[in-house]
Amino acid sequence: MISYWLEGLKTALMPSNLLIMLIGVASGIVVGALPGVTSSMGIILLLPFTYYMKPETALLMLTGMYCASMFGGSISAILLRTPGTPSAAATVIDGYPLAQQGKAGKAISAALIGSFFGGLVSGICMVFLAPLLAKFALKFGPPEYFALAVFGLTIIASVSGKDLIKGLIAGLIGLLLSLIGIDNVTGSQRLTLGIDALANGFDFLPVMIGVFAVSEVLDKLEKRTPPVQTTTSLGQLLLSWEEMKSLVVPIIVGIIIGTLIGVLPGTGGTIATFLAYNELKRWSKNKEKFGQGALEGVAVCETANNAVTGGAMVPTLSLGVPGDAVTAVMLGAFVLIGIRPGPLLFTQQPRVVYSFFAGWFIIQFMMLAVGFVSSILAPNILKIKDEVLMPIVLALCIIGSFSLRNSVYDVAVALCFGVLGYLMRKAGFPMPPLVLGLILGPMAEQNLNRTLLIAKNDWTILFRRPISLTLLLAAFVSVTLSLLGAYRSSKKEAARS
Amino acid sequence: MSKRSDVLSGAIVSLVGLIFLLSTIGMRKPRIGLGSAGFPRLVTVCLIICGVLLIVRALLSKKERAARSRIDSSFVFSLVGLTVSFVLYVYLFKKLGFILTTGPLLFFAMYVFGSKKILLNAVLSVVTSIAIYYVFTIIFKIPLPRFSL
Repeated sequence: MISYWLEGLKTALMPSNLLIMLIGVASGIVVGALPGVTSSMGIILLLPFTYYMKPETALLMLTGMYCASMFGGSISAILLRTPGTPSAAATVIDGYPLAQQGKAGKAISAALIGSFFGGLVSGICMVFLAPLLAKFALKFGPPEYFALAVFGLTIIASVSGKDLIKGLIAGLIGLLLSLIGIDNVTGSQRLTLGIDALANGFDFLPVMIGVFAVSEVLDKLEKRTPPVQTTTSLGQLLLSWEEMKSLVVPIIVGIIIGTLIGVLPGTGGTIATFLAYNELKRWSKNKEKFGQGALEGVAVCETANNAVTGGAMVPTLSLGVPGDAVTAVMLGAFVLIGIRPGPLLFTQQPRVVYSFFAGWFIIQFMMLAVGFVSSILAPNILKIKDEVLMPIVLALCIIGSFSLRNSVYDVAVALCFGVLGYLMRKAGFPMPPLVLGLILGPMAEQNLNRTLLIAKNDWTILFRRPISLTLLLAAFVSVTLSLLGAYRSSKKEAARS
Repeated sequence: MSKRSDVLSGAIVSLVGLIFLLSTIGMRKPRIGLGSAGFPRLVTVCLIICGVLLIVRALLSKKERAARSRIDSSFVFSLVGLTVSFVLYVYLFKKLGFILTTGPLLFFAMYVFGSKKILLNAVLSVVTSIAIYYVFTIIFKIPLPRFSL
């Protein structure tokens, strides 16, 4: 075992491999920060460059891209209110208000520290706890996945802001959108209203580009706000000792939830970030800070989405089952570069596995260094006037949605949802619940359907299995606590007025 | 938000829910499982209920929750103009290619955003669209449509 580690470390520390990892990390941050260019797309774009590399070298480059893009997503989420990757959607909630308060640098620093620890500790989990966690994940069946989706949907209550009904409506619209198109079970069209173009349904990415980015462009068009004061000095980028201390709990919460969610196949960074954010907010003594610009909110989201990377690699490497959408692309990339993930990988290609493990930790430190440089440079984006920046964001949105499937339909979807998102924003509907509904809808429906097929329409199966029962109870507790919180705050508001 | 805005939003949401609920009428329920219609019906019924709740809450509320803001006519013109340009853009995107459509869209967007320096806008929009095109097609290898006779 030790000889494998030494061999792996030697491979990862080769100057050429260090350079390759650096390129992977730097391009990962750029790709993550570009709205509409996701981690998956970045990995696919990087693949042609790896064809002539050794498998372990190629793997290190792709891993650099994968880990760093998760952090990169936070940069545009904080500076532009546009999550660079879906996993950074929750970072917007507190990251953008911080940028508006002139604390963009601090927000990026908190995101970077969270990302570093998330990646590092989840990497340790990947190395030491992989067999145990993978074994646990294997116990999950359709009832457990359905219960997990229900638990995820309860988060809508806490990301709805002040108006629960509008939050629920936004979440339901997201669910409805996820159902439009071909039904996976029967193969028939549904909810298309006779419009052929809707038969393919809505892909998650163009919808998100529309509601988050295009609607933001339209919103800026109306407000025509002067450029926000940018954090330029290093003093404002560095966190104070008190601020550092306040990040400890969010980082721990993010690591635990991110790693656990990551290890469950079929979930992903977006669910993990919203879950982690919700849990931290629920147990926090300063709930009112969340959504207004809490560093803890940014740190927990970024820790969770980077912790997902290590967790998601567990089933990917040991079982050949991807942990999320991005690792599904990674799995495809592995095969393309000559690596066959699965239980035999550890015995047949130990050199690749251990150089990957060693490289993983080096990449986290590289991300910290490159990320720090980017945190010095990135806030300057805010100095660019909206009249120049927004049309460029619009062009990037168009490319992001087009290059997904080389389809003009996706561009049209992004632009339509931009207008819809803008109108919803104007009417006071929050956007995060819509995204949650869109992500969790298919997971909830498909697994409920499978559950009922397995149990022959016996709904009690959901309560007879301990894991699904626990998750459903957690969902119930989550809703009850959120409703109580909403009731208390409405009473407080009434007393004040 | 004003009362009127909430009533209107609630009505639109309920109507959308109703239209989608009606579209599931023809779908049959299988003996086992949810079928195609089960989950959509649940979602649309919840949507209608929430829409109605929003209307009722707005009608019962005694005061306007926020002062009604005036609609800026220049913004309405800009929004309509931008939406029309979106439609044109999508229509011409594959026919004329990325550069020939994105350049004018950027130019127009910069103009409606308040940048009235025509020459600067023209240069910026042309340079930006060409730069993005080459970065994405050459570095990222994303094939973007281009004009050809």
